[in-house]
Amino acid sequence: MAAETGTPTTLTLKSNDDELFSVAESAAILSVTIRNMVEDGCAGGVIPLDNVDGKTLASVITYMNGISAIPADEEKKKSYRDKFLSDKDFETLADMVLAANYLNMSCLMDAVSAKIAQVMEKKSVGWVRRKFGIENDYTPEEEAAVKEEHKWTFEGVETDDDN
Amino acid sequence: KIRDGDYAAESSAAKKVVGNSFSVPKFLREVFTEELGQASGGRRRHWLLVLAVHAVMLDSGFLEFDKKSKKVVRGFGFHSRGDLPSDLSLFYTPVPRGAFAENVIVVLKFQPLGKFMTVYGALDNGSSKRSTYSVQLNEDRLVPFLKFVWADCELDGGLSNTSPEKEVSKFWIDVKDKLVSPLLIDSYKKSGLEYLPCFTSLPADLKLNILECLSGVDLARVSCVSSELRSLASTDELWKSKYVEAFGDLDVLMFENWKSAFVHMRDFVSFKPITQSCLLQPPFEWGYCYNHQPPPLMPQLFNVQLPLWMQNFHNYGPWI
Repeated sequence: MAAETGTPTTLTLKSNDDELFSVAESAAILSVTIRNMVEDGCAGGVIPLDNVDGKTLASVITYMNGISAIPADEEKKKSYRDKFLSDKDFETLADMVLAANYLNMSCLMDAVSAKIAQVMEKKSVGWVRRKFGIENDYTPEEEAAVKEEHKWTFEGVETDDDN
Repeated sequence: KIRDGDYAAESSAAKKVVGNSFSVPKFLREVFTEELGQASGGRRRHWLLVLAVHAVMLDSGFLEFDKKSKKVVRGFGFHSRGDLPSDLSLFYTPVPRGAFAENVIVVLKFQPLGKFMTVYGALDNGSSKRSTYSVQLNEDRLVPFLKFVWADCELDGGLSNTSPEKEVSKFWIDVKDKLVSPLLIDSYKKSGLEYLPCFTSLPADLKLNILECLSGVDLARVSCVSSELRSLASTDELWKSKYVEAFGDLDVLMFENWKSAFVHMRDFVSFKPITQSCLLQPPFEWGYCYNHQPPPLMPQLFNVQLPLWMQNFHNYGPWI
């Protein structure tokens, strides 16, 4: 592979809105989906990624390049991931978790899932509904019942700051 | 043209079925009971899978639509349908939310082939350029579990080591992710509404991945957000890992599920340091330790005989 021959191979990835990206093979094979294509020898031309749009693919590639530049040091990789995800909004994160799933990149997937979960931590029920666009489908009686059952979880919950 | 009044009535009827039950098996059972209640044995079997898919559609906010009368169909009307035809098509329309007034129809085609049933779904707009989604169901595998969930009847010997709830949830997630959710997203697009990537639109396994990263307390609170999240956040596997994370790998057999084990253990752990220091003396200050509640199942948990004063600790004041 690239590292052995000394001449870095570049792959061309195409998003579903027809944007082209070139990325070093050594970085791209973080995605198991792409790695399988490379190993099967069908990564010669353009690799079409039908489920990822250009904006999301651009940030995934930024991540691929960033993380593969870090030598095997879990601590540093983790802090890179935290920094990489720190400024992403929820829509971007949702797109990224779908892309990471499609590309089969478990490290990115776990990091994004943890980040989304972190957003929910210690937040009120109403806040989670608004932030994640989740419809409250309980009737008032059901909601009262389910809240009563989970009363023990409301201790230390942050009060709503953006009503 | 569909009148708004019909929609409103139907959507509240659908909500009523959905709202009263929190878990997939319960919801299924209600739909089954309502539709198949008086049908004879042989005919039921073939309709079970169709009805189960129908229930997923209802749960996701679709209602059946009669193309001839241009009306939403109340109830599935199993009795008037006779035997399962070899190519059954059912039409659905999404329950309008906000500006969702445009008349969007989706069609499901059921094609039984031997023991398999393939369900195809697409927007019913007559154009050739439309996406079709499909899911294949194995009748032999699913029907015993569906029957069990519906009627609580005995499982055959070979199936007794599997959990019907788990199998049915797997079916539910499969149908939702492969068929129903894509149809819902297409319906949104068709009516010109943007379907933003929101938590609800993620596939169920990705949602579970996210929920797994939450602490037990946060996970439990998320149940209050919506009935879908409640159903996801009740997954026993999830709670087993939360339990092990928090309290180590203990065999807890006396609870019906890992969530209640977690809740009780949590109460117990927060209570433990106090019991240890109080064991040899009467508990003068217990009123403050307990949030004024009786002790959470401690004797059952460790199977120890408590001293009499502890069993009767309610008699010790001051309780506020």
